[in-house]
Amino acid sequence: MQIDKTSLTLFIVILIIVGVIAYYVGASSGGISAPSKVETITISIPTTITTLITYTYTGVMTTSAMSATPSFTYTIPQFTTQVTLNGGGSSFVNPQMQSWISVFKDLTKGMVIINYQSIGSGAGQKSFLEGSLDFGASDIPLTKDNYEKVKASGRGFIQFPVIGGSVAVVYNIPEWDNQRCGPLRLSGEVVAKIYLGEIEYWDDPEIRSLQTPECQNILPHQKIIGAHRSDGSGTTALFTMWLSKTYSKWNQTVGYGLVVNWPIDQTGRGVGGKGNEGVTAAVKSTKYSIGYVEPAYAVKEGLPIAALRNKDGNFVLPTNENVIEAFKRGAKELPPPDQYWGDVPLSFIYQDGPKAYPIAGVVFVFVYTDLPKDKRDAFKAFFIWVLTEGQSSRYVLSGYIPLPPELAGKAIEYINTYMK
Amino acid sequence: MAKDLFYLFSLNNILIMILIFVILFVLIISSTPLFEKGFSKVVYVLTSSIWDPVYDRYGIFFAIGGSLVVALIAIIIALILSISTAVFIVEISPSKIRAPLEMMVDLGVAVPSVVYGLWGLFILTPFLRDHVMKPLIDSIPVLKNFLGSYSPSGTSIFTAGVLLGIMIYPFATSIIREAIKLIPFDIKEALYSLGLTKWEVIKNEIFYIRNSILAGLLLAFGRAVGETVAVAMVVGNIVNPEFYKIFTPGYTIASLLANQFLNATGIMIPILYFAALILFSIGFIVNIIVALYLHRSFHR
Amino acid sequence: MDLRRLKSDLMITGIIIISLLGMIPLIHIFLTVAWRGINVIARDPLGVLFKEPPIPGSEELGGIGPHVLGSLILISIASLIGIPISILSAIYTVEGMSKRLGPLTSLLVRIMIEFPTIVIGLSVYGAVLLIEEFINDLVKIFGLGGHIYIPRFNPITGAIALAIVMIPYVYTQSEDGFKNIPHHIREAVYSLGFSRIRASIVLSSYVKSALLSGIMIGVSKILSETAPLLFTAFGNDHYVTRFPDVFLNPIGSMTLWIYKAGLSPYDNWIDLAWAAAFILLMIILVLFVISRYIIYKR
Repeated sequence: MQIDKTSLTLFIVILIIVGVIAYYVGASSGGISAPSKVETITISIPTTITTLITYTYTGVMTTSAMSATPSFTYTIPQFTTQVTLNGGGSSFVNPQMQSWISVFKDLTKGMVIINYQSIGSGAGQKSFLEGSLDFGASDIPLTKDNYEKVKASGRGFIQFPVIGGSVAVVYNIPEWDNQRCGPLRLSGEVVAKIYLGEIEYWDDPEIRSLQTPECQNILPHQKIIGAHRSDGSGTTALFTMWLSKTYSKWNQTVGYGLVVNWPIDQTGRGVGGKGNEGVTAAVKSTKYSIGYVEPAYAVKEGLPIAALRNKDGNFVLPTNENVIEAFKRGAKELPPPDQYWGDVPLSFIYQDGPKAYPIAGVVFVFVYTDLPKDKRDAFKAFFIWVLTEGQSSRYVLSGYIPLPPELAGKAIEYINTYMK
Repeated sequence: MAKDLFYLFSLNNILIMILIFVILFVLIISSTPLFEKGFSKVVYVLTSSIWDPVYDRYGIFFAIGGSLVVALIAIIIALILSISTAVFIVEISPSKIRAPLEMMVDLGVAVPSVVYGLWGLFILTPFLRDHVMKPLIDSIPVLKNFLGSYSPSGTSIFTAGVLLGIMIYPFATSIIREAIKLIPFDIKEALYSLGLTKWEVIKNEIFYIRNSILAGLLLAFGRAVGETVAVAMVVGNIVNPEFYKIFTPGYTIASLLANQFLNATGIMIPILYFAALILFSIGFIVNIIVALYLHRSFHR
Repeated sequence: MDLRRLKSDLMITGIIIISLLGMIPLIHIFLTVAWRGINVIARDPLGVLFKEPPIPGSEELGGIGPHVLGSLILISIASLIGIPISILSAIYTVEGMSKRLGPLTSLLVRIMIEFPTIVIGLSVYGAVLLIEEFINDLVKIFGLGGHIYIPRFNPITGAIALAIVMIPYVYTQSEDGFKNIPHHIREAVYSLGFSRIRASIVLSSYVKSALLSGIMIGVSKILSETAPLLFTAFGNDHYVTRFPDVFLNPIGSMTLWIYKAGLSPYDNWIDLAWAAAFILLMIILVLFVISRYIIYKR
């Protein structure tokens, strides 16, 4: 009996040790590594981009001037030792980021490991600020508070956009005939009034007046239920920015941010949902409700998307084309990367342009420029790859909108000049 | 010579004590920025229900209330389930299935809370929404004023309470079961010799072990208040000043910490540490009561 | 008389119904986790165990390898820290016959046993911040340049948090074991003229089974913990294989994965959450059976 127990103990101890060693060896000896690919990628891109990128990134990228369709190659530097980069933040960008990470890991033969955790945009900013993670990603730039703290710390840092997205306003009105009337038409002012509790019924004159004459009377006399995110979210930030920009009373009473205090909740007509899927589910299952989600979720769940009135007075849907137009208009105004960027997302929102969709936003990445050398090299290689090859349709997942070349080029320029 | 070295073992005891004090120390130090704002600010944080990062106004009353309501629902469920299960196992069940039943309940204690959470999220939440909350509200619309309207996803304070009840009742059961087993045989014999029916005997036995039941419930309460991930998965995580409307989603202190700590900046950080301090104090008080007055170690 | 009997029968029936009702969720949990878990694992058993998590929302299944490894590493380190501390202090409490320190430890540990585990994680995180601040203050005082930075999310802080969770369980079990040593045995051991350390070692082998079951309970307890890891281990979906990097970077664990993936909207992640729950439950079942076996043999 005594021997039994001793051997049992020994057995368990050895089991644990062997298990750990086995796992470790198994993990490092390629038992799980994916087949390696060539590190040199060649893609074709339009001329305008090439000239821009040649200008900003002559060191590594080369253009072949002879060929009719210019192409550039971006050679990812060789990494001989394993480097681990830790990042976290925006949950919106998570699938796209994981996809980039996995491709990039293969391209570097498993040498660059990037651990990205979707902890939310607010947490992404905070983790970057405190240095808990090597880089942070957020749906909005550093907030005033956070920016001042980073400045006060005296450490150099940059921020730049990596991918775009938009926010769709969705609705559930059984009476509304999408076939006949097309999407419901809404303006920022009306939506703001709904979420403020000022517009109570769907057949409010202000809503009716936006619709085409033949469809104005379809709207029912039913109370509007306003669905919103319950967690801190960049989607909320973009949505509330749009409301702030279009209706000054919203700006004065509620403002914009990752989490806001929803006035409609006080009227008992507010519903909170966790994540995009929570709001999607809430709108889908609640008649006469309105909500805001990323378009991919609305499409997946078959929710109708409202056409929003843009600055030029046209009603537009969040198509790729319309969103990219908004980015292009806003791109001119990208300030130096270590400045306060609080107004940058505002410049994409409610942008003029006949087709520009009014709620467009990009995901921002923040990093300190004094990362240790190996991490810095890995960071530069990864994000330059993301901003070139990563923006091609081959790697951009549905629901994301590639940055216009102007923005991507600017971001690469910032990375190169500030992170030497 | 060697004998003296034995006292080095006491370093471990000292280390354990230091650990406890370090935990307390860190919590207090980290929440001082809040205390520095003055007593009235602390009172405001404790008594108001607001979470507004745009204007930096925070009050955690909704979370404290949410924690208490969730724990209360859990305790009621656990009380009913654990006493009957313990009695059933010891006094009623045929001896053949007794061991498997005990095994089952003890395994229930060992199941990770995150697994309970996963099950709660995918099985219990839709079940309660479709088969309890919806029929109840639909058939008696007046209840909406007291219980609130259920959210489309089904996550709510009620769901969290039920899940926690299911989670902590095996633990309470094992404590009560051991207590029933420890009732001296002559007392049982005396009860039966009085000509009492089985139910009356059981009633007396339950009365006899009331201290253990109390201890079990207190410890279960401590667990319920401190439980994080399982609750965070099903409670809905919404700032809800009307936390007593149990069909609506809400927050508990622990789920507030889990959800908000990583994106806290500025004054939100000390407030969250302060919330943790409250949680710590609740656990501390519960355990002191049990350890000092109810005298027994029921921990397995 | 008949009425009393009827009432008794009714109440007994009620008790039976309620307790069987209470069993349903427990059984349902085991069956659901087993059913869903096995279904996922069967698609690619080795892949689930060894591969890295897939791209969320893709068709790929992937695996939870880094999280299984992470759990193993975290638990190994936590055990290395927690087990010696708890057993040695239990020995001191019982064999040291101290008047104050022993009983005080005993009481404090029993208070500690039900600390909300998220508070422990939060404290460890806060402690790292405070230590970093302190070091940087020193750096400033001595006029050295630069900013010293302690990585917050790493296996060590995670393991420390887990060790704090573990200590009370191992401690109470070992203390009970030592306290239950019959008087004559203890006397016999001491009468041999051993030093107290030697005597403790001899006595430890006598209560080996209690110590072992304490360790089992402690290990299965920290294996199931999520909350203390949220702000310490943080989670990592990739294998980190380079030596010092393992201890400087975030690390995953199965429980963290279940929490994160279970709440995510992506089907393939949710599938893997069930797979992880199944694997976790199986490990805990094995530990449970072993500790039962030890207690039974005792």
